[in-house]
Amino acid sequence: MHMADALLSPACGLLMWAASGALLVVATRRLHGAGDERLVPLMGLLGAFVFALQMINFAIPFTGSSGHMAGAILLAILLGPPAALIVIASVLTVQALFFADGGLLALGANLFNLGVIPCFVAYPLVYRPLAGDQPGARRGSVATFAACVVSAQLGALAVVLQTVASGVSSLSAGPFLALMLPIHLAIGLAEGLATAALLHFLRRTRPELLANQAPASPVRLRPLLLGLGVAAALTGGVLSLFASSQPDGLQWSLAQARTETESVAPPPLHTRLAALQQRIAWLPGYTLRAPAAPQQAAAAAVPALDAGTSLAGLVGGLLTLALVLLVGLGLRRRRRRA
Amino acid sequence: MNAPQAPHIAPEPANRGRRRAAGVPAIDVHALCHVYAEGPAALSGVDLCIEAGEAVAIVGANGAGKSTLLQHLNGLLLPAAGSVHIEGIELGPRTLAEVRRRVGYVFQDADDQLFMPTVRDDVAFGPLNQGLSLEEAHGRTDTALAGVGAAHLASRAPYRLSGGEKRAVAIAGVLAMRPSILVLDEPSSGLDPLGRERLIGLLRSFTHTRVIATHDLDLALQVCARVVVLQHGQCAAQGAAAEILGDGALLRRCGLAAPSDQEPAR
Amino acid sequence: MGRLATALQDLRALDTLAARDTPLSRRDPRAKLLVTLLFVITLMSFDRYRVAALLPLALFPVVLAAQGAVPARTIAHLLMLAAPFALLVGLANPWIDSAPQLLLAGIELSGGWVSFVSILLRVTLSVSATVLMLGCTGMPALCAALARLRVPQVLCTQLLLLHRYLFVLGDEAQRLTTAYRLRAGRRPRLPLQHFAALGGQLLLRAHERATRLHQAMLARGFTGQLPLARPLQWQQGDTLFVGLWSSWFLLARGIDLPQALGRLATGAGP
Repeated sequence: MHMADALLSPACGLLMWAASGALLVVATRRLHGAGDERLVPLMGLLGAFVFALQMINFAIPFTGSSGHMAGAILLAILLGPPAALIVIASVLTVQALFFADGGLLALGANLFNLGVIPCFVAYPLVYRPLAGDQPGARRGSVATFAACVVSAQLGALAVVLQTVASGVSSLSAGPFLALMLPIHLAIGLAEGLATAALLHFLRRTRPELLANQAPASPVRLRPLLLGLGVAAALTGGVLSLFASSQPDGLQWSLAQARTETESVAPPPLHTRLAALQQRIAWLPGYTLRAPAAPQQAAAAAVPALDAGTSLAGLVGGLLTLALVLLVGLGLRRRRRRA
Repeated sequence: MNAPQAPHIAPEPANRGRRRAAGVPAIDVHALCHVYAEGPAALSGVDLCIEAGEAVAIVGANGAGKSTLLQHLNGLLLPAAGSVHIEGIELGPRTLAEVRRRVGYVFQDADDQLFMPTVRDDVAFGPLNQGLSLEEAHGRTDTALAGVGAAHLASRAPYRLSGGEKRAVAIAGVLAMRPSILVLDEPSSGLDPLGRERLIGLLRSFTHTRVIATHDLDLALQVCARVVVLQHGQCAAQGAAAEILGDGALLRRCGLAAPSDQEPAR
Repeated sequence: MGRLATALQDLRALDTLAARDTPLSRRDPRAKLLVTLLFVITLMSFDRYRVAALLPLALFPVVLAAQGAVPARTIAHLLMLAAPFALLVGLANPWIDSAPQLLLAGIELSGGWVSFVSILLRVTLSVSATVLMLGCTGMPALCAALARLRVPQVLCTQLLLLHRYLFVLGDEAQRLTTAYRLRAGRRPRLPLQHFAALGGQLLLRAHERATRLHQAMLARGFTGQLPLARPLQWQQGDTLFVGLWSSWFLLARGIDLPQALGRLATGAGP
């Protein structure tokens, strides 16, 4: 599932960007070191291949529904983790910029969930140990399966954590996880089936393409640890906040109230900085959606349920919208006349 | 492609002061053998000698070894046995760059060749890799594109071009490197009749040494003075184009059909 | 199968838009990238219950659409593709967050509905801005900008090659699946083994093409890097572009403009 800009807070989005960006740079350095310039055209073509493959739906056995492949584990097996991460990054970028799938802010998070987790976690920790060096058909399929399922589950967990940490959605971690994990179990199983079937086809037709599991690009510990470290920090940071509930909820609602009053006062720069600082400082507060919090928070957020304020807001909103559209139309007309 | 004017794309004399001694053939292939990993011998002893400025067609049935032979001419493949000399330089792992400076290779599928985002970027790729500055590279690009009649396509993306346009741009990309020898693999494949006619006109106008692997025997007849027939990885016949291509029995023996030799449908 | 055809069509359409000469296309792609990023960050930095306050930011995609002369149909089409996941998750808000937040014409709207509308608005604005801005910039210009911004060459090359061969492989995939369907009878969905065969064929073709591509690159002197030979000139207009838009974003973030406007209009005191 692609994470969207609309569900992310800037802090969370930028944090994920930092993590994925760092690992991406590490991956490019690894490739540079390997020095195989045959990889460059192959990566380009396989990126196009994965993009096209994702658009082909297949029937998931026993379910009566269809699914499609993401292809991350497949890429990791064919190209090795660093090259695979780069290819996935390019595919996600095209999807975000040209197909409105994901978004600019969410690109970092998506790269982490759909790229770092399969390539730097699931592949080295699940696939390689299970498959060994030159896996036969059965071993390879089992390893593929396991890697795809783990990848999907961890990805789902990451999405939940990122959404909850951002606080735009009201969902709390518990119910969200309860929803996402089973769905992604099914997704992971489907991906595993499809990937295993594809690899089986390759094994029968061009087995030499699968032969590069070799120490030629060994799984280096450092990028792996880096990825795990970030994942752990994110997880730990967010989860630890569940330990203490009320005080943070209170802080959050206080921050709400503070934002309300400050947003009317200029100067904009000071306000923005203050607001930003609050957001960053009190970000943990957003994650606490203990059931009691919404009411008290909402109550604190709007000093009084004031019909006048609400009406002014509504009228102002409509007027703003009208103005904006007028500007747009005006510009368009001027262009046509020019 | 527009109809070409008087040829103004001429090969540069041999680079870096290496003057070709008079009488040294442009291409000299001697007892060339090549074996692919999974099959029988692709080439088993080919002898070929091509003088500067000649246009030679390599014909043969599928699997006869045309592409394999061509790929030896610019070092995409190295000889398993025998030798290949390009303008006196023996082809080997250390002389690849030298050889590729002199031999321009036009691939069968233009999509494999046009990989840069725009036509101009793609044609400039070769000159830039040769160490030219940006301005010089663009100068060569403009000349080459004008020479094939594709100047109006300079800022297009390759995926938007028709088959004929792609072929023209691919040729321009190779011409921009100023090779003295042009090697073309099935240049008329995928072209409509008009595009094919233009291609033939273009090829006839060049003064480079031209080696053309083709199934299109009409093209071979119109462009090339000499024809080499390959069969089973060996040279089955060589000679003047008119002679070889007029010998119906020979062609049939080698798995080919004479040009315009067919009976119309009833 | 249909999805692939539509996707390729959309990409081609965006490329065509990017190739035209509009005020937007003359801007340095680095400026465009920067402003879009600022826009998205500003938009997402609002509190979840803000709806009206987001609206001044809508000026950005609207002006982009006008300056880029993007047809309305394209925009509508884009919005329909956008972020189903976000909308689905957003829909949960009204169920979870039921404390009243707004009083409108005597009806109390829960916070959940407010935040849902906020999410809707965020999706619409961010999607339209991103695609309008960057999608209409075209891949070559984008990669040139990234290269100048010190993004590793491998990544820029990868994006360029991916974009270049998307259409080639996409067309091959379409031909493969069409040929399959013509012989597959009345099957409603693609069985897994057949998918594996089709996907496998596509993969093999991609591999072979990659080998030929590599040969073509070598034949013209490739040494490992593609020359991203596109001169970028940062102009005064670009500084103005970045300056004006970031000021607007800051203003919209700092002051609740619609509220102020509304108060003026309805005469309600501050």
